[in-house]
Amino acid sequence: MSFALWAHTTVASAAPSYESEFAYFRWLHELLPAPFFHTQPFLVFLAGVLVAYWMIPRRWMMARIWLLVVASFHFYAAWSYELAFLVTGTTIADYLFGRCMGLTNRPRLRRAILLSSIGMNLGILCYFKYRGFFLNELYEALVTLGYSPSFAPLDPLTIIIPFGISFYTFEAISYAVDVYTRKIEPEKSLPRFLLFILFFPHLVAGPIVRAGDFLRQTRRPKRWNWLRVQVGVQLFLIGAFKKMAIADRMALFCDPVLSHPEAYNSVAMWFAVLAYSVRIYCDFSGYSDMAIGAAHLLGYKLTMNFNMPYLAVNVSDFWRRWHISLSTWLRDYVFIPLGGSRGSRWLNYRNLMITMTLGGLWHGAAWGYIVWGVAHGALLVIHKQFQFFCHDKPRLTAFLETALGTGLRIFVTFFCVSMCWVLFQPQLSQALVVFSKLFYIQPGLRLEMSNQSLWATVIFLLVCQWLVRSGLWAKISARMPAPVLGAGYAVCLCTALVLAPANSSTFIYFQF
Amino acid sequence: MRSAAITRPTQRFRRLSLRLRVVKVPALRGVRVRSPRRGRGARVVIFSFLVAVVLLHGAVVLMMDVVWPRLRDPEYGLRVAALQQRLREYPQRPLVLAIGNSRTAMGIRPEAWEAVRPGTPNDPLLFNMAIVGSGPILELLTLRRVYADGFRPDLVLLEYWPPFLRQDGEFGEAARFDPRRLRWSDRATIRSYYPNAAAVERRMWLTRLNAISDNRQSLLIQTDDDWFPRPWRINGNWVDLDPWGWLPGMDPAPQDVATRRRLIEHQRPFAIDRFQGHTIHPESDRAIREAVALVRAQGAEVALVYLPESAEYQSWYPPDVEHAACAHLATLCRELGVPVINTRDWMDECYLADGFHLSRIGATLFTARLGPVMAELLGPSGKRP
Repeated sequence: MSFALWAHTTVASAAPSYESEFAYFRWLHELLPAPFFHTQPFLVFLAGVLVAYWMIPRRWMMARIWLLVVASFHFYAAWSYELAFLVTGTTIADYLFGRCMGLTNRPRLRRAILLSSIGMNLGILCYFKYRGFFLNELYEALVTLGYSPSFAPLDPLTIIIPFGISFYTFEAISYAVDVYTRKIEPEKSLPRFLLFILFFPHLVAGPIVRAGDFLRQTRRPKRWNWLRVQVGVQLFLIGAFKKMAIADRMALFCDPVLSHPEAYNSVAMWFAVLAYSVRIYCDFSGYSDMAIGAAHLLGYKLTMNFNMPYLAVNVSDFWRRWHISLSTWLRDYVFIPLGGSRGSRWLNYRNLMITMTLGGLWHGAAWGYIVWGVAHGALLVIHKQFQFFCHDKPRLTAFLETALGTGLRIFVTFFCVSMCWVLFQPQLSQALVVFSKLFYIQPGLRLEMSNQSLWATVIFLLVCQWLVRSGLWAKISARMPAPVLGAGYAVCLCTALVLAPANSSTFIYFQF
Repeated sequence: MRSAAITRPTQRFRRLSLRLRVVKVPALRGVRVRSPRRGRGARVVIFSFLVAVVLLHGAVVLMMDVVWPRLRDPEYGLRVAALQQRLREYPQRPLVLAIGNSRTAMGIRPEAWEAVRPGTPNDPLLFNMAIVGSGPILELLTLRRVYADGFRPDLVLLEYWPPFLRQDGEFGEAARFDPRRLRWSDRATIRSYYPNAAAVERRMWLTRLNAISDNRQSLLIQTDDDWFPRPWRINGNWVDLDPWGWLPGMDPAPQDVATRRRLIEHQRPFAIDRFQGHTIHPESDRAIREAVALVRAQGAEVALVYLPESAEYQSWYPPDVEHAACAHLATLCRELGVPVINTRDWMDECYLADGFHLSRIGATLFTARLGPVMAELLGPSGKRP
C-alpha cells in the first residue's frame, strides 16, 4: 500500500505486515487487500455479503445480524486480525458497561461505570493515536529545557493506528452517555450491539451513527425493496464517481505541489489549494455516499454526512453541511455540555473555540490539525461577531440576502475554508511555506499537468451542485424513463472507472 | 396486525418514502417524488444498469479486439497504420521489415534510407516494425501478427541480441511484455513459449472481463496524454513514432561525452546483472528457428542482424557469454543457411547513446549504411537472388 501520495494530508502511520500470521488471515488479506469501497475486491465482498444476507429468510433476523457481524469482523481482519480482535473486545466491554449501567439505579455507580467506559475508549484512542504525538512533544520540551529524557522519540511511521478508531470510539462514547442520561435503554442483545459498532459500511470512516438510531433499525424486519436498492446503488455510484473520477484526479494536481511546496511557484500553489479543496470534499463525501449506499443495500439507513458544504453562505452554515455526523456529535456531547449558546457572548465563544479545537485534535495528533480546529473556531467566532455587527444594519443585511450578496458570501466562505485546508496536515511548517507562496508571489516549478482538466472538473462539480440545489435534477430524474436512468448509472460507473488514476487506493479520512 | 399493515404496498412505500425524505441526499430527490408504483421502475432501473454495464464492457472489448485493435497494443497498431500508408504510397517496392527490440526501434531509421536510395522502382521499402523489449519469442509473435494482418514482406530483418536470449525468471520476455497488450491470436505463441502460459491466458481473460478498468490508462493516454503527469505516461514507446515506424531515441550530440557517460553508467548495473548467469535458453533458439522457418514458408528472405554496440558495452560481456553467443550465431547460420548482417562494430561509440542504443544521428548514419546491404540481399529485382 502506498502512502506516499497522501502523506502530507494525514498522520503518517504504518500498515500492518502480514508475514507471520495465520494462513487464514493471510488468505483473507489476499482476497481483500484494502478496506476501501471503490476497489474491486470490496465490490466482490459486498456482492457476496448481499447474496448471503438476502438469501437468509426474513424470519431468521438474528441469523442475518450474525452474518453482518461476521462479515464486518472479516472486513476488518483482512486488514489486521489483531486489531479486529481489539475492536471486537472493546465493543464487548462497552456492551457490558451498558448492561451494568442498566442494572443499577445508584447514580454514583452509574457515573463510575460511565467514566470507566469513556476512560477505556479514550485510553485506547490516546494509546494508538495520540501517544506518539504527546510523547514526542514531551521529549522535545524536555530536550529544550536541557534535560535528557530516558525515553526515545517515537517514529510515527512505526505506529499502527486501527482504522476508524476515532469514529467507533465516538459511537461507543455516545452510546455510554445516552444510556447514562437514560436517553436510550442499554442494548440487551450482544450481536445487535456488535453490529452497531462493527457494521462494515460505517466502520472505516463513518458516518458516526447514534445507538438510538441504529439499534432501532436492527429490530426492524428487513425486506427486499427495489426502490431501496435503487437508492443504494445510486448513492454508491455517486460516491464512487466522486472518489475515483474527481478526488483521485485532483490528487494528481495537489499532491506533488503540497508535498514539496518550496519547489513550486505561487500560481501552482493556488491551483493546488483549489484542487485540494475539491479533493477532500469529493474524497470524504464520496466515501460517505458509498457507505450510506452500501448500508441501504443491506436495509440500513445511515445519517447524511454532507450537504453541498461549499455552497454554504457562512462558516456556521458550512459546519451544518460538512461532516454532519461529527459536527452534531461535537454539538451534542461537547458544546452543549460545556454550556452551548447559553450564558454570555464570551462564554459562547469560549465553548465554540474549545469544541472546534477538540474537533481539530480528533482529526489527527499533530499541531496542524489543532491549529486547523482553532482556525475554524476563530472563524465561527468572527461570524458570530459579524452577525452582531449586521444586526442594526438593515441595508447591509438586505444586500447580503441578494443573489450577488449570497454569491459573495459563498465565495468568502469557500475562500476561508480553503485557506484552513492548508493547515489540515501534520506539519505546520509546510503550511507556512504554502501560505508564504500563496500571498507573496514567488517563482518555482509550474504544475506538471495542464490545468484544463482541473477547471473542467471544478466547473462540472459546480454545475452538478447547481442542478441539485435548483431542484432541476429532481425534475429531470423524476421524468427520466427507468431504462435511461439505469443506462445513466452505467455510464457514471464506467466514466469513473476510466478516469480513475492507476494507483488510487486510499481515503484521506482513512485512519482518522 | 403490525405485519399485515407493513405488507400493504402503499403504506410500505409511503413509509420508505418518509424515511428517505429524512435523508436529504440531493440526488435522491428524484426518487422521493415518485409515486409508489415506481417500485417497478426501480427494478427496471437496476436491471437496465446491470445490462448497460455489461454492454459497455462488451463494446470496449469489441472496440479493442475487433474494430480498432491498435487500441490494445498501440505500439504495434500505430506501426501497422503507418505501414499501410507507406504501402499505399509505394505499392510496387519490395517490402523489408525490421523486427527487434528497442535497439532496432531506435536504431533503424527508414527515412534515412529513403534519402540515400538509388531511386529505382525496385528499391526496398524498409519499415521498422520493432517492439520495445522483444527477444526471439516476441519477435516471432510480431512476425505472426504481421502475416495475420495481411502483410507479405519480401525480406525480414530479425534482430539477434545475446542479452535477450535469456528466458529465466525476471529476464524472460514474458516479464517484459504487458499481457493486456496480447491479442487472442497471440495465444498460439504464448502456449508454445511462455512458461506461465495458463496464468497469462487467465490474465488475458480478466483484462477482457474487466475491460474498462483494466485498460483505462492505455485508453485514456491514447485519447489525451495531458490527463496524466509526465512520470505516469506510458506512451513513451509509441508517442513519437515517425511515419516509418522509427522511434526517436536518446539524443546526446556526438561530442557530448558527459551525457553519454551518465547514460552508460546508468545502464552498467543492469547489463552486468543481465550477464550474470547468462545462458542461451533453448526456447530462444527454438523461437529464432521457427521465425526463420515461418518467413521462408511465406516465400520471403530472412536475415539476422546484430546491431551496433560500443566497445565498452562489448567489454561487459563475460568471455563465456561472448563465446556462447558467437557459437550460437554460427550454428544458426550454418544450420539454417540464414545470412547474418553483423553490424556490431559499424558505429563509433559517439553515435551510441548509452553503449547499445543508437542516438538519433547514429540511427540516420547507420540506416544509410545498412540500406545497400539490405538491397543486396534482395537483389536487383527486389526478390530473392
